[in-house]
Amino acid sequence: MTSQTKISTDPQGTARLLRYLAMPIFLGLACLALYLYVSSQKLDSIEQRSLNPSAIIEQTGRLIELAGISTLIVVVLAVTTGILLTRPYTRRVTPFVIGLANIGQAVPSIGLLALFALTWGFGFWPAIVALVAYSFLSILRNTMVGLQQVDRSTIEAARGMGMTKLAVLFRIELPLAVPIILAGIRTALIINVGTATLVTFIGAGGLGEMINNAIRLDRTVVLITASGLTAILALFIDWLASVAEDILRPRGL
Amino acid sequence: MSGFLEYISLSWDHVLVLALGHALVVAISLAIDIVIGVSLGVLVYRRERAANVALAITSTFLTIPSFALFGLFIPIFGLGYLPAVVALVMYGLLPILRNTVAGLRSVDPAVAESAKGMGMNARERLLRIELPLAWPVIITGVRVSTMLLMGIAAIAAVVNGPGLGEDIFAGLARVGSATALNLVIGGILGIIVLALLFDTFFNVLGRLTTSRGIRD
Amino acid sequence: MTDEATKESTQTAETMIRLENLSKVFPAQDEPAVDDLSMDIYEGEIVVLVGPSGCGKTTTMKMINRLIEPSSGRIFLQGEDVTKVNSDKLRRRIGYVIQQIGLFPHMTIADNIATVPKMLGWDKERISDRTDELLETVGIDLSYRDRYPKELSGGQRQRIGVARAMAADPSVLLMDEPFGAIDPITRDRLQDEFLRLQREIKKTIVFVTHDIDEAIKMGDRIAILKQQSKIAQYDTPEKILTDPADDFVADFIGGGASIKRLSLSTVEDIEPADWPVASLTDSHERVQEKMQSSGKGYVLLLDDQNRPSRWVGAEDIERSDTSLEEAGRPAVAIVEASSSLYNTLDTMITSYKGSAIVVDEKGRYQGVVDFDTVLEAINAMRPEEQTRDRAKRDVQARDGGR
Repeated sequence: MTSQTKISTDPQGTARLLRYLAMPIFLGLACLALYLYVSSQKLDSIEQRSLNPSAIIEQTGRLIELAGISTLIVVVLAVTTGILLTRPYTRRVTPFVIGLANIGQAVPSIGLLALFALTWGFGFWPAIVALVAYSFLSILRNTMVGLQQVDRSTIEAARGMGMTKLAVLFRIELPLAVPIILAGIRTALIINVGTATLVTFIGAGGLGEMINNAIRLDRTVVLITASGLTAILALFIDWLASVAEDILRPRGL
Repeated sequence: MSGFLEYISLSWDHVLVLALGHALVVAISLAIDIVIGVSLGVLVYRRERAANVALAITSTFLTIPSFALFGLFIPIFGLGYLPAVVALVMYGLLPILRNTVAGLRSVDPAVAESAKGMGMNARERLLRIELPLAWPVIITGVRVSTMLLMGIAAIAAVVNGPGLGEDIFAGLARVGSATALNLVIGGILGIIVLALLFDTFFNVLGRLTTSRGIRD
Repeated sequence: MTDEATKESTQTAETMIRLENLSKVFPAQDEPAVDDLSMDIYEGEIVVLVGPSGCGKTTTMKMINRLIEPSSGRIFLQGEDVTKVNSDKLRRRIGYVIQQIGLFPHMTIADNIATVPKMLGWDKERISDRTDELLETVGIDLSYRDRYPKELSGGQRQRIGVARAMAADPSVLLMDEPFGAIDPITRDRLQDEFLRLQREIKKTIVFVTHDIDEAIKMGDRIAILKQQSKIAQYDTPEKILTDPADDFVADFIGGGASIKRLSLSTVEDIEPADWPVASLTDSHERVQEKMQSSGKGYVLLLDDQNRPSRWVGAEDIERSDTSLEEAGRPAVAIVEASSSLYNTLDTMITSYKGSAIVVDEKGRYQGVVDFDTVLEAINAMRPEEQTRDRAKRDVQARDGGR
């Protein structure tokens, strides 16, 4: 879960470029360090099998797949629900939902995964459902808060000019809420990458499986590599999302 | 449902012990987080660049999947309490730091100026004016961190850490048996109950320690 | 206050604050915000710094308590060079009131007021007594001690701000547009009360405002500042109004300088005329007698405490069955002896028969002023203006002729 409030103001030119590049540079160095570390170690057969590039790529791909699909689904569901729940006739529900979402943050991701797996079975799709369920409340809350923050007087002006409620929604509220929604997508992505590392426990594979095996088999090199890669991947995805967020944000906001 | 109730009536002491362990590890991590987070916030809130760096670093912590972080800590800290606490402290830092900075910065400039104009030095201003006024916002940050840590602490079980996560993983391991679901539900409910208790505690504490003059 | 008295008091008084060649240059700017300013402020006077926006008046004031450190120059407080002393300690000796007041919202009124005394180590009882004293002085009910700022109105908060600034009994008060954020009616009242307060406590006050009328009303001396806080004129309001140093000052005063001049003189300065008076308890015949012997068409009736009650004319008391208490019309155009001539004129315009009744601070009848009396007083002030205008015309004629 990343911070959504931008505390700093935008610096100019090169400073901004440096800020963007700081993370990838750091990650690149981390990858390098990891590679050097692995090459310097003598690997036994188990480790060699775990650490071959194709296995790593496959697991990484799995993780991205899980995170990507669940994010797509949850964004569609949560944003739609968020819109529905912030209409004038449903507005009363908002504080209740936000309160629920706050407590919902305490629900352990592994708990939800286990719950779904035990009731519906292990594997890919139960994992997807669990991932969606876990991140749903957060994105819902963000969407509702974002839509609520749309200036009431802007909406009033639009209605006063004769726009229908639907037109106001699509031409005023949603465009103004885009930054919030983008931030929500980014958050969902990060949450889901984090939860997806745990799906190994319900048989859905991914990099988490590498980590778990390394723990069970007590192979430190694999453990460090898998954990390190997972962390690097998560940070990289977050960085991509933040760049996308900045690019996609409508000008004027 | 009846199966679960039966399970609870039989194993409530076991769940209670785990719950206490869970509460303890979260409480310890929170305490450390409050000390570090508020101190750091006080140090950087006036300096934009330092604040940005601190916030960026702590938000990076939150981006790293907890399973991966726990995994990374095993070679360093071993198994058990220590890696759990270190990881939890890292995760809980951002909300508290961010709210401390935001809260301190939100103090009405006129109030800060009149305090300075009356001859209060920087330390007195911080302790007697700025922190008390920022306090409600800081408490909110603590509540957010609490929720976060409650959920993440469940994963500490993978490093043999304390808490209700143990039951959840146990349930997963015994898939197919009758108790599996009960263990998992027991774990989840236990965490939710703890979360509600902690949140209520901080809510009440916040009200009691906030001056009547600024309570809405 | 009259010219002569102030002149004497300022010349023999101690210099409380001396600013010597003060300058301030802010890093981002080319021009200094304050350029080589020197001025003396005497004990017990209110000096108003007034000037257009950006002239540096607030910067100058803030250099006195070093909220802004001077780039060069020296500051003397009661003869002591305080340019380099510990600034926190310095500020505890100086009262500071700002426009937005800045009361501490999380503290009670009592705690707000007690802030500086606590820092100075006063004991609880002394602080408590002082708090009560101050609340009374600024006209706030003692029951407000344990209330919070959010429960008070703007005017009340402003009074507490002043009380807080005076808590440790500093000899100097700095006030930065203290009445700026208040509505005009309350502001007027606060200004009057503050002046009344100053008559009792006689603090040395440096007051910043952008409003020339407020400066004229509040100041014993006014410093009209140009850009970079250069002094255009530093003198009593009377002098500035009747004798502006240059066009800048004249423009800044704006039109209506003569009328403004009227706000500096009070009704006390002119002789109220006597008017036939009678008592509410007198008989109708008695009143009629008074009316006839004085030759005035109407008589003022006073109550048993000599306070003006009603105006009665001949036709009002023709019928002896009407009681005096309901005859004629009530006397409402009443001014206190300390009212300015400006306010008196204002009252008179709306009064019956164009006259105002002057009373003392207990409301007892002193006399009556009407347009004629005021006009005489104005004419008495005019010789100075007439001389100046004549001189100006002579100069213009001379130049025009070339």
